[in-house]
Amino acid sequence: MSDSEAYLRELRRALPIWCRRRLLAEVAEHFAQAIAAEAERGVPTVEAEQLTVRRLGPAQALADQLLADLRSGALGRAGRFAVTLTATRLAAFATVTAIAVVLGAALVIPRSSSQPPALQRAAVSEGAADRACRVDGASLGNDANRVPILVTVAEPGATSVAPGAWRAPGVSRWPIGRSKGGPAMQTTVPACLVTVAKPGEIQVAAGVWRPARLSH
Amino acid sequence: MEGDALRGHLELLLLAALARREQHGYALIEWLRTQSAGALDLGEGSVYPALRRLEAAGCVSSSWRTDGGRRRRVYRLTKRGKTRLRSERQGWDDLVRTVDLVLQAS
Repeated sequence: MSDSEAYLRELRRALPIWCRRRLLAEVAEHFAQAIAAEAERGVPTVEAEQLTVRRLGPAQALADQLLADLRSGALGRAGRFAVTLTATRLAAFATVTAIAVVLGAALVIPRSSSQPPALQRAAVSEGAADRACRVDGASLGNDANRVPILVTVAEPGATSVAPGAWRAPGVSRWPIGRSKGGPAMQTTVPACLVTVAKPGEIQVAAGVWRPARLSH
Repeated sequence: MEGDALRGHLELLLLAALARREQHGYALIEWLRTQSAGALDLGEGSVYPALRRLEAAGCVSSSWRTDGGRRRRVYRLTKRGKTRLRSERQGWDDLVRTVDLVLQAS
């Protein structure tokens, strides 16, 4: 490593990342011009670098001077703020930020799968109780069989429900598709009653459902 | 003259150098060395923080300029810098006159 490279490396290490770019660029250019000027006088590059290093003074002293100016406010309020962001503190800040991003992602990412579970046929029995469909905001999900529901949106306020179990009340993130045909079937177990919140979004609640179409 | 005495007036010297024409850091240092006949024995690196102080004070402005394929930071005197130079030059003249009077009287 040349003397100029060693000097610049020492200067880089002595200064916070926020305030070293310009000084490093100017000192690097200073070396280039000094070496060129000495070369015109017949001074070899190595000697010219050594001479320039001596004339510049210790890199640490130069860094200390800049840092002192930053702390004293001689370089303005932005400079005083910049000096507090040393490389060490920047690393700590980056670590905390990374942890916050990971935690935030864990909270934001939906817990349920974006893919709807496979649709299965629910048990059907003849003569099931004909209970009116109702909407119950406090209904519990049918976790017993966990068979998913395929719902279709016929029109706002009315849905067609195919066989299946139902998920816990809440807004489904499953895509709403067109009915593939076949009559809706009745089940004896508490099933879901869905309401259409808005296109593409359904609200699932407990209840019993009638064949074919539901309305509420 | 002791280097410390001159170092204390570095900013004034830089303002005076820039009053002639805009220059980059190395050229300023070379000019100071030449004009002082080598008496200005300071760490030349201190010129760069001094230039930044002057820029923060609004006395000089600077910009990167490409010259012969090389990027250099060029400094120039501002209006405020000219005012400060005038004021500090007057202060220096007064100081020199006063010291002269005292020394002659002794």
